[in-house]
Amino acid sequence: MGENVLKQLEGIVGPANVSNEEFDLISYSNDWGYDGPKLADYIVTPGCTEEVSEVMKLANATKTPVTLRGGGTTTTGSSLPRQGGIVMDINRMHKIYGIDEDAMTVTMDAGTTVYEAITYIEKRGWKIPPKPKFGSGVSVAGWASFNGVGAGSCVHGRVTDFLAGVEVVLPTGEIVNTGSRSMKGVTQQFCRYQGTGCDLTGLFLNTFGTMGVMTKITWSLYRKPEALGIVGYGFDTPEDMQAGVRILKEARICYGINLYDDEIADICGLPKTAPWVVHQFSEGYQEEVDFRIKKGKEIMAKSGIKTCREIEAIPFWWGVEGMTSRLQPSMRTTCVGGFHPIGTTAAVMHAYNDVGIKHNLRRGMVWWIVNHYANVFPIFVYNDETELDTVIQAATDLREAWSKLGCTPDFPGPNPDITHWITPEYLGFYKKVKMALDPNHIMHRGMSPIVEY
Amino acid sequence: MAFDLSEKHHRLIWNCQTCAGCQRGPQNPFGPTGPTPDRICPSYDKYRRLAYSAQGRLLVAKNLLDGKMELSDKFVESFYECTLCGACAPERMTRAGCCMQRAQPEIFRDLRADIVKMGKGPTEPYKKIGKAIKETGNRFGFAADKSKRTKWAEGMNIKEKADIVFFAGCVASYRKKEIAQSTAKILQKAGVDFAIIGDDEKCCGNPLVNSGQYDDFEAVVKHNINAIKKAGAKKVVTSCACCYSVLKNRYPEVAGDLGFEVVHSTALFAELIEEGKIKPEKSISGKLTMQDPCNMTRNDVSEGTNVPEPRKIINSIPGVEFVEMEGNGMYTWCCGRNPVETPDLALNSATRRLEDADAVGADTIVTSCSFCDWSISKAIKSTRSDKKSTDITVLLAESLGL
Repeated sequence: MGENVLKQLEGIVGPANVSNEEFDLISYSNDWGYDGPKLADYIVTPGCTEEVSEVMKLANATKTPVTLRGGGTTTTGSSLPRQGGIVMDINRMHKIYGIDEDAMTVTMDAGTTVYEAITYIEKRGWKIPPKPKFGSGVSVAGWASFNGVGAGSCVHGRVTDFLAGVEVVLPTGEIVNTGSRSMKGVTQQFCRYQGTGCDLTGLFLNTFGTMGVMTKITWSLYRKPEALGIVGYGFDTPEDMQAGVRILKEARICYGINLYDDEIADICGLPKTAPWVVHQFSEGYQEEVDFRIKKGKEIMAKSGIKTCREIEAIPFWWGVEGMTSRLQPSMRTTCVGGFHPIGTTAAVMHAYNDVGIKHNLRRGMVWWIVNHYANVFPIFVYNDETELDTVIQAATDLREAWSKLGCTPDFPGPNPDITHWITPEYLGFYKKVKMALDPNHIMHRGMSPIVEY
Repeated sequence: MAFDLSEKHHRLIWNCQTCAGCQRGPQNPFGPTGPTPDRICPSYDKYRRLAYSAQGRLLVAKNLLDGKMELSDKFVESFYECTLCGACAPERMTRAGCCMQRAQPEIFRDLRADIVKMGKGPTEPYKKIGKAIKETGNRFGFAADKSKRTKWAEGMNIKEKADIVFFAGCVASYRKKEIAQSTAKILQKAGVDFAIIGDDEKCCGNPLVNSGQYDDFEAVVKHNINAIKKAGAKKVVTSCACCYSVLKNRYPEVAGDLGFEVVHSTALFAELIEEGKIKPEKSISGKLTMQDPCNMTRNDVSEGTNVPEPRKIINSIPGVEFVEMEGNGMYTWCCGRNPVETPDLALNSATRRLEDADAVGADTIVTSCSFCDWSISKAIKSTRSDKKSTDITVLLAESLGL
C-alpha cells in the first residue's frame, strides 16, 4: 500500500472522502469496546453502493484488509482494523427509500441509524417488531451484522427474523441482492426466503462484517399498535425470578420480558424497587393490553412463588450501551454478554457473582428474553485504566464459567476471540465458506472467529 | 509543547466511552415526548467523519495529552470546524446522559487555547477577527471614524447612564441595525430607563474565547465590565444570545462577580407584556417557527428555563400561527453560527434549519440571536429559499407599531 492506493481511493470516492491523516486514523482507533487502539492506513467514506463496489475491487486486487464501521457501538472490537488497511465508514450512506405499503417493508441505506429509521416509520404509522435497546448511533447494517435483539424479541425474535433481504457488495466487488430481489424482474424486497436455494442472506447476518458489505437493508414492518402496557414484579432471589420469567413466557401474554438486579439499578441511578426485577410488556389494542396485563398479574399472584410481588414499573429499556451511557462519571464498564436457556438464569447469575467477588469488581446484570431463551448483559465496573487487566481476566473467567453451564457468548467483551469456544468442525466449515466468499481474506482480517489462510 | 489548560480535563477525557451518542441518532430514544432529533452534531453532519465529532475530537485530544501524537495543521483546521454548540451533551447525567458531564465545549475551548499558546492556531478567519477586535473593538474591523458603533442609535436620544444598560453587540450595531433599533424602541415604549455604553462598547469577545484567544478575551472582558460599571448598570440587557451567553457565563470566569445581572431581551420583553406595559396589537400574518439559540438553551447556566419567553412573545402577537420545528429548546439544532469563521459548516447547518422549517410548513424563522439570524439569512440567500428570517425584537417592534 502507498500513494498509489491512496490516489486510487481518491479517484473512487473523491479526495474529501479518503484520509490517511494521523488524527483521522486515531479518531477511528477505538470503538465502544476495549480492544483498541488499532490504527487503519486509510479511512474511506463511500457515498453509494457503486463506490463500495469499486473500493472492494481495489482492496481485493491489492489484498488490502477492509474493516467496516457503522456506529461503532459494538463492544466486541469488530469495528477495529486489526491488521491495518482500510476502515470503510458507511455513514455517508443514510438514505431511506420510503415505505413500500404494499409489501409492508422499508428499505434503507446501510448507514441509516436504527432510530433514524424508527422515527421515520413511526411518523407514518408503522413499527418494527422489536423495540431496540442500545445506543443511538447504531446503524441498520450494524444491527444486522450483530443480529441484534430488542424489547419485542420475546415474540418477534431478532432483527434477522424481520429482515426481508439485503443488498450486499461481496469482498470481490460484485453487487448482489438477496431475498425476493434475487429473482429476475422482481423489484419489491418483501420476502427473505426463496425457492432459489439456501438462505444466502444469512451469510451476512451476525457475521460482524466478515463476509461482505451490506449496503441496503429491508425490514418488514407492522402497524403501530394502539397501546403498550407495562407491569413490574419483584423477587428476593434469582431462583424466584427465574421461576417468574418462566411462567410469564409460557403464558404467551408478553411482547417483551425484561429482567435486572438492584445492583444495575444502583449503578445507573434507577430506584431500587426489589433485589430482582421482572417487567412484563404487552402491546396491541387497548382492550388486549388491559387483558394481558390483568392476566399477568393474576398468574403471578397465583404462581406460588414465595417472594413474588407487584412493584412499580421502571423498565430498563436499554441494554449494555444504555447502561454505560447513564453511568456516573469516572466509571467505565465492560460487558460479557451471552445467551442461555431461561432455566439456567439463576445459575448464570451465581457464576457471575462468584467471578465478581473473586476479582473484587462492582457488577450488575440485565436481561431481555429473546424467543424462548435469555440474552444477558452483565457488566463489570472499573474506575481507572489500570484496572482493565483485572476486568479482562474477570471476563475470561466468566466466559469459562458460563460455557460450563451451556451458555453461548454474544458480546465477547474485552477479549473478542471466541475461536477457543467453537467446535473444530464448525470452525472448519466456517473457514470453507469464508474462503469461498473472500478468497484473498481481506474482510476484517483477525476478527473472531479467527481463521487464517 | 504543553497542554497546560487541557491537562485538567485529562481524566474526564478518558471517561468518554466512544458510544457514538454525540454524532447522530437521537440522544434519548426513549424521551417522554418520543425520541429526540436524529441530527446531533452540525460538524459531523457536514463532514461525516469521526474526527469531526466530539467523540473523535476527544480521542485525538487524549492522544495529544498522552504525548502519542503530534499536533498537525490539518488537525487544527478540523478542530476549529465546530461551533461549540454543545449538542454533543445536552443533558447532565439524566436518562440518556453522557459521561462527559457536558464538558465538551469547555474542553474544546481550552484545547484551542493551548493550540493558540503553541502558535499553531487559531485558524486564519479567527485570527483576522481577533486582530479586528483588538484594533477596532468590533469583529468586522470597522474603524471608528468610518462607521461608528452607535450610528444605529442616532436620533434616538438614548442616555449614557442608567440602572439598565443595553449591550447591542457587533452584528446588531453594524450588520443588522434593525435589531438594536427595535430593542431600544421597545424599551422606550415600555418606559424602561436604560442607557447604552456608546462607542465604549467593544465586541463581547465571543469569537476570542471560542477560538482560544484567551489573553485578548481577558482584555475585552475588563474593558466592557469597566464601561458597563461606569454607566452605573445593575442590569445588562442583550438581544443577541451569543453576547448574552458570553457576558453571563464566560465573563465571571475571568472577572468573578460582575456586580450586575445579565438578561436577554426576550426575558425582559415577556415580563413587560405580562405586566401590560407593552401590548402587541398589529396583526402579523404567517406561519412562524422559533430557532432557539444554543447559547440560550443548553449552553447557558439557566439550562433551558428561558425557552418559554420567546414563545410567550410570539404567541402574544395577533395573527401569528406558531409551530415548533423538530429540535427545539435544549435539543435545538445549531444555526451554524459562524458565517465568516467556518462558512461551509455554517451554510450546511443553516440550510438544515431551512429544511426543518419547511417540514413543518413555516414560512418565517424567528430567532433571538443576531448570529442565528445572520447565518440563516445567508443560507436563505445562498439557497434562494423563499423562507424569511427575523429577529424576535424586530417582529415584536413591528407588532407594537414601532
